[in-house]
Amino acid sequence: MITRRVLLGSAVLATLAWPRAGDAEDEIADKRLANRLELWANYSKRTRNLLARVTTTRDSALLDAPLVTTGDLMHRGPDLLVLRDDGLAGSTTIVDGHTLEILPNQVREAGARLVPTIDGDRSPAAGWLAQRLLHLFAAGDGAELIAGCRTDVPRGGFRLDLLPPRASATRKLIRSVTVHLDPVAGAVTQILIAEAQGDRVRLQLSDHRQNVPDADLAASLADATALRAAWAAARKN
Amino acid sequence: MLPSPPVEPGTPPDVGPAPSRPRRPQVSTPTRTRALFVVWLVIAGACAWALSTGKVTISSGVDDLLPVGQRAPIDDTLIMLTVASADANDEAAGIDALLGLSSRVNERLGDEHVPLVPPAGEAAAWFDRFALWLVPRAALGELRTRLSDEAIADAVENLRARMSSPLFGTTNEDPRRDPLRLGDLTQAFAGRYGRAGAFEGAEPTASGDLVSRDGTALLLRVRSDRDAAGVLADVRDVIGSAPIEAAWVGPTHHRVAAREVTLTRGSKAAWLVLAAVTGGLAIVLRRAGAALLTAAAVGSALLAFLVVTGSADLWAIPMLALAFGAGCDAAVARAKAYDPGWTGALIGATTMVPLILLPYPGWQVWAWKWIIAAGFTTVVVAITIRAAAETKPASNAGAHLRRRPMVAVVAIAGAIVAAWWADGALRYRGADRVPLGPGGDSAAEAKLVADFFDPSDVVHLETTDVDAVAALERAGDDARALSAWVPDHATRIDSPGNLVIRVGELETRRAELAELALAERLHRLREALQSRGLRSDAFGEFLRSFDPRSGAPTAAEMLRGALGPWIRGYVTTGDGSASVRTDVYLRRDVSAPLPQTLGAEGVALEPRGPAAAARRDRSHFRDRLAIAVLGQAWIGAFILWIAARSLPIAAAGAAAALITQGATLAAIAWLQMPIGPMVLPALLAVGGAAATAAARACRTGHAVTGRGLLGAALCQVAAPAALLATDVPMWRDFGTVAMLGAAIGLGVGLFIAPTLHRFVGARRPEAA
Repeated sequence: MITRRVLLGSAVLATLAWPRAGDAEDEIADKRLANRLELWANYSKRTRNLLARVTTTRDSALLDAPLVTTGDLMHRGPDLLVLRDDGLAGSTTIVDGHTLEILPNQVREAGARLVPTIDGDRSPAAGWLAQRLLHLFAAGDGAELIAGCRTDVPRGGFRLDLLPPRASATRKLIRSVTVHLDPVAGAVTQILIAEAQGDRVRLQLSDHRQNVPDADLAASLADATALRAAWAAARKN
Repeated sequence: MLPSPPVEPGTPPDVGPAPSRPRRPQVSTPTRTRALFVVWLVIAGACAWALSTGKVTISSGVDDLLPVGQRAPIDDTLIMLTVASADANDEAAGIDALLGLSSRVNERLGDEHVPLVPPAGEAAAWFDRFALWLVPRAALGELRTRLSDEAIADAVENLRARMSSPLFGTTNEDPRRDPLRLGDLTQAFAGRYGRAGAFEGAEPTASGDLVSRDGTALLLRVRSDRDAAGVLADVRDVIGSAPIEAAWVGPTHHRVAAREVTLTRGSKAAWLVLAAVTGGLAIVLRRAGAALLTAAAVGSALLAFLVVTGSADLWAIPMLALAFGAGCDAAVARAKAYDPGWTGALIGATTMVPLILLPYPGWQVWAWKWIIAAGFTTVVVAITIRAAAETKPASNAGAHLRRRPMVAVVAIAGAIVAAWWADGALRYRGADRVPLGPGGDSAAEAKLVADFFDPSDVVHLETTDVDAVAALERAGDDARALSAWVPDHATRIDSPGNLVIRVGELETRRAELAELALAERLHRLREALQSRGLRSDAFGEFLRSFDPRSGAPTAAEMLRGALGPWIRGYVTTGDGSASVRTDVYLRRDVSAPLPQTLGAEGVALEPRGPAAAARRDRSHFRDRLAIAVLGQAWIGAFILWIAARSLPIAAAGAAAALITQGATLAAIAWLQMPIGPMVLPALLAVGGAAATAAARACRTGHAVTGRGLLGAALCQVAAPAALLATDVPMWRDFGTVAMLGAAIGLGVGLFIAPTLHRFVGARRPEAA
């Protein structure tokens, strides 16, 4: 039989325990985030530059079937990231500091006007995503990576969710960026971008090569540099 | 108590012609004098009580220098909602909260809410439906090129290639609506086309408001007959406890801020002026009591003036400062018997008369008010001087005036050269932007200019016809004519007429579009999309705009359709007529005069608004300045001639005024200060001060010491100098001009006028 004293005692204990449960959840979440960032930093803190193979898959209502492309990811710290698709049918994405470009790999003089430049000021979502991608491969303790984001560390797997702030205009275009990390080395193995309009872009990374000689990196970046110059010339014409 | 002046043997006592006239003002019997003094005290007390109990209305006056038809509409209010929370994750303060709040505010305000821009969804639907109809004729060649086989293939290839980028979905491209990027053709004409995309830092909302691209501010327009404070209270009531702030911006903010500045900073300025002039008087008169009495006498006269006129505004503060300086100058001159007659008072009172001739309504009113203020000070000073005349005379030792021809010649030549140089170096500042300083600044106002637009740059054109449809078509013609102003003179021509085509032009445009073989191009596009793995059905919104059965963008169609509520914000209906407003967003450069543009029916298009008025004023300001200055010189000379019956004195007074004003303009140019209608009275006041000083110097000639004249004029320097201690730029500019001019005028009066007087043929005073 439950006595009145037991009931009262339970109520007191529950009252005392309630806020502590909330605090404990926060602590656990903070700890999980710290663990994820520590795992990520294990790899990234040594990164001066990075080369990797990347397979990009876009699911979109505009397409009959998912668009799958393969290519290279090139990062040169602290502020250059290039994603270059293989073949002329693909494109090259360049994040150079605050300059963003998406350039088709085939330069078409007639179509030069049809390739818009990206104005970071008028496209805050593009700027936000570009900075997340850039800092994902840059050396650091994770502070810059999660700056201007909400974060979530899902249970199971070695994932980290980066979400736009609730009050930001970026949420109109991007719902979340989910980063998968290698459980041992901490390298980024997959990035899943969920767009607000329903498109999903998955970047799967493999064959990571960290801190390659500068000459090799420069050779890898040469194509992107040449492409950039070619498009600039085409736009002028 | 005021000191009596020393009596210099052989000196003509008054500016009047009769040398035998007594030197001092007549002193009446002590009883009568004291009675007048007591009456004055009672009246002054009553005026102070009336002022303290709010009998004087404080108004803004910020638009008063603009012609009535050119002022920003009073019933048109811009309200900005700004996120007040610094927490980016605070959902109650985010862009979604702002947009939700915008909907609730619109519900609350009902018809009082007027869209600033076409509502995003409806405008997009209109563009989707009539994209090809609305491509400007000048861009038809480019349109033909973009519909070629090669261009279609390139566009689809580029689209598919770019889709592999992770950034593709974040670039604000909308391939579903425009895979061929035909929108670029209208974007190139965005300003001419009036599209909301022409705003750099903002984009339209679903209800036709503007939201900043960073999602922290929302701008909405309210048109209401109600008091603006009531409208704002309603908006704040809707906001409730959400961390969002609502504030007026644009013309309403300026009006409210100007009133606040007058109310809060005006009293501080008044005390500063009082302290500066009283201090100056104490130095001049060497008696604190006399200084206080003089300041109190003139101050009470101006207090009575305020109570009688019943209102004060932004311009009242510097004008009253000038009046205070002039009144104290007259009191000292009268006490020292340099100018005991009515000549100086009359010159002072008519100083602002030329403003009646100029198209600045605020100054026209002040020209009359100035006469009243001068009349009040003259009467009160006369009463108090009579009361004080029984006191002990003060010492008036000091260097006697000497005629210095070389100094005068060099100074005159220098003033002429400086004025000539200043003519090309002066910068103009129109009355459309009255600088209020910190009191007029607000974070919302800064955000408005940075992310949205500057309402001071927006001018309006009304197009009238028999009904709304006809007026809308005509407005389209006018807007297309005004589009020639983009980009050199304007950034945007905003008219619903831009989005319609005249019924008479439909067939021509239909024929032009038929030449493009749209059905065949449509088929080619579908093929290209499908061949590259893209679903052609996903681009249906774009493909439907190719359908010739989708109608045409006529005025009647637009008024009937979803854009109707937006258009009604532009339409005013009257008896048998309707007007459509076109908003023209001018470039900031006020130095560029507005070009003459003819409308469709050969009538010159002249948009109205503060910015347009300022540009027109700029092109006429030199003439207006000349009218004011020459008019004042003539009036001053005429009064001197009548009073002294001496052409040399009249000529010397007029020349002194003109030389002073020329030198003052040079000083303004050298200090890189702007000049414009806002400081015109200050320039006229210095002319009046110089003419009076010259007349005194010429009349008293060698026989009277310069200390008294210097002391009298010191009040005219001290009063505007006190305005420099305020933080209101407009008052500071006004004070700087008046202070510099009064100092220059004093020098001209003392050192140049006597020589001028001799040059134009007067006999030596000794001989006289």
